Order: sequence, then structure tokens, then C-alpha cells
Amino acid sequence: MEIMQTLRQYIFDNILFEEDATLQAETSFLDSGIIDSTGILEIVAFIEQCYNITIEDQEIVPENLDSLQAISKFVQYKIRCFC
Amino acid sequence: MARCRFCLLTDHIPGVRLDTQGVCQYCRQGEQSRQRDRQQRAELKAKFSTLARERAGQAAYDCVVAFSGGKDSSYTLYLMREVYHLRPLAMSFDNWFQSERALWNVRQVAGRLNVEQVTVRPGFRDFQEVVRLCLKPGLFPRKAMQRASAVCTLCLSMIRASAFKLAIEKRIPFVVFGLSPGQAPVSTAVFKTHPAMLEKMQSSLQRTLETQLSFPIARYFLQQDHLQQAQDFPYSINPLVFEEYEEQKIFDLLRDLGWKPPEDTDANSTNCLLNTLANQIHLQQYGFNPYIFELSELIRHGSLARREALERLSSPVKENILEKVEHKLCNEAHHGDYADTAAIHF
Repeated sequence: MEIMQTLRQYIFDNILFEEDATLQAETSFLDSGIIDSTGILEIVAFIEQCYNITIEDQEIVPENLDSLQAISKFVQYKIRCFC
Repeated sequence: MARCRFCLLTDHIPGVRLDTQGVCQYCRQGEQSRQRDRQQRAELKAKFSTLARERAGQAAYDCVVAFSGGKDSSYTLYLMREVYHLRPLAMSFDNWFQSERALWNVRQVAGRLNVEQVTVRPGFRDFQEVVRLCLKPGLFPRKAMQRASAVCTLCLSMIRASAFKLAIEKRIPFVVFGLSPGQAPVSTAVFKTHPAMLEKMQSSLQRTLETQLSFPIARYFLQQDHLQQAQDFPYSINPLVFEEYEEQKIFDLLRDLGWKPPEDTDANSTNCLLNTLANQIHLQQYGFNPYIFELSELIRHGSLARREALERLSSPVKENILEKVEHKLCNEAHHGDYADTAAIHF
């Protein structure tokens, strides 16, 4: 939950530039058109820095990064495996 | 409206925050962050050098270079050919609004570097319709509109897709772009896009466009067979993120190649006339010039003096270009003047 909250705040501050109540945990960033591909790479850079993890190119897939819920699960997995 | 003391960003731009000393959050990141960036750039350069050595010579060409004939892509083509000693295939995307001088520079630089060059040209009326659509607000995410105008964003998507198609079809391992260090985040410098991600991104964009265009835009993007056949998907490379980038040195180098600066483009482009109109519309819709983030990053990067960047940002609009572009966009009857072809010309 803490990871999701941190991500949500990052997205509001740096990508959407405002609080957006319609952004649900499972909202697809790409389908909803709120974040583009470069935006996703910026989120990847933020996650790597914030949680001190490395995300490989082949891990940058929609299943891992296309929603708050997906990213949160993915980050938890990476932390469990490699930290 | 207050402007950052170090770069050009102003506090009326969404997401930009100035502190009590008048410094924006990007400039405030500090030396530690810049040191980390420098280290990362050195690592990326080493990574690309290694990859280039490993992958060179396995196909007829080593890289596709997206080549407009502008300053940055001409410099990029030079780097691939003369510094990395790769065999590039230069791909130019003629969007019908290129400066005549840029088209001349394509021939000049490719000729001087002895590089094969192909041109992809979309259908005139198709592209005309795309541009008209991009002039309406709200087509792209707000964050994307910090990086470029809507016209540039969509045109770049088409260029990217054309370059990837070419690379996949010819099994070329790298697709190289000449985005400046101010345009491309460090994370995009050496990156291998997963086909699943690309497919998702494309389908999302196409869904938005399809309902508003009279023609199927999908043909300008990667097809299922591109996405499925690509066992070893090409890397996307933005070398200007990790290479030395000093504008004056680049101009000096290009002059030696016979490259000549266009006189009909605006201060922020050396290839495209549409830029002038796209910037004007962006300014009206979002309240800031779409180049303000790039120029600010170039100041932080040390590639451009703040005064020069400010002059570039506030340079007057060339009304004659604006009129020429608007006329071409509005003119429905170009049948006699333009060949409506989307073929790749070898």
C-alpha cells in the first residue's frame, strides 16, 4: 500500500500535475491515455532510484508497468527477490 | 509569472515549482544528481560501444538512423559512421513540410559520408489530416506536451515506427535517433523496447486517432508480423544523450561536411517548417513554448548559455513561413503538385 501511495503521489506531482480521483489502482495508463511510453520510462527511472532496484529492458512490459497495481506488485517482487 | 534564475522554466507551467530563492525543482536537484547523471551517461556510452562491437557486421546494415537533414540527426549520422564505424542506413521522413535546405542537406551529408539513404513519404492528404487533427487540444497526455508539440509528437511516432519497420524487415540491430540531451531522458539512451509494450502503446495511440481520421492510420505503424517476427527486437539508441553535445562544435563539424543552415525554419528547428505553426498553437493552448523544457535542460547540461536560449525562445515568428504552412495545410486541391505516395523509395 505504501508503494502504491508513493507512486500515486509521484504521478500526480510529475505527470498529471494535479490530483485525479479517477486514477484507480487498476486503471491502465496507456489505455486511458494519461501516460505515454516516455512517461512510463520516467516512472521506471523513479522506481529504480526510489527503491534502489534495477529494472531490465525485458521487464518493461504492460503486465509490470501499466497500472498502479501492476507496478506496486512488480516493485514488491523485485524487492523480495533482490534486496 | 516568475522565471527560474538558472533555466527558462516559469511557475505558470503545470508541474514547475520555484522555491523561495526562485530556483525550479529541476535546477535544484543539485550536484550529486548531476554527478549521477554524468556517471550514467558514461556507462551508457560504454554499453552502446560494447553492443555495437558485438552486433556490427551481422546484417547488411548495422543501424537505421532517422535522418532529417537537421543539425542533430546529421551529427548523429556522422557519429555512427565516423566515430563508431558502423554501416548506417539513413532513413529520412519527408512530411511534405521539410525545409528545401534540409532536403538538400540530406543529400549533401549522406553523400559526403557515403551512406545509403532512403526516404519514407506519407500520403500528402493523410499527413495533412494528421496535422490538422494535432492542432486540436487534448490529443496527448499533458506530460507529453512538455516534451514537444502535438504535431511533433505524432510525426515522431510515425518516424519511429517507419524506422523500426525498416530495421525489423532488414534485421538491423539498432535504430538510432538524433534527439538532443534536452529532448530525451537518460533512461531512453540505450533501450530495447519489448514488442508487447510497443504493441500496447501503438494500439492505444491508434484507438485515439482512428475515430478522428478518415483513413486507417494503422498502416503507418508496425504490423502484427513486425511484432511477431522480431525475435531479436532492435535497440533504440539516442546517442546525443551520452555523447559530447556542444552546439558550436556540432555546427563547425557539420560545416566541414558541407551542411548549410536553413534560413526558412524557426530558431528551434533546422529542418521542419511545420514547427513554427505547431509552436504557435501549443503556446496558445498550453501557455508555454514546447521548447522551453528542452532549452532549460540544455542549459543545465552546459550545452547552451541561458541568454542564448532565452533569445531563441523569444525570437519573433516568421510570418511568411506561417502563411506558407497554413496555406499548404488548408489547400485541398494539390492533385497536380504532389504525388500521393507512401512508398519507400530506394
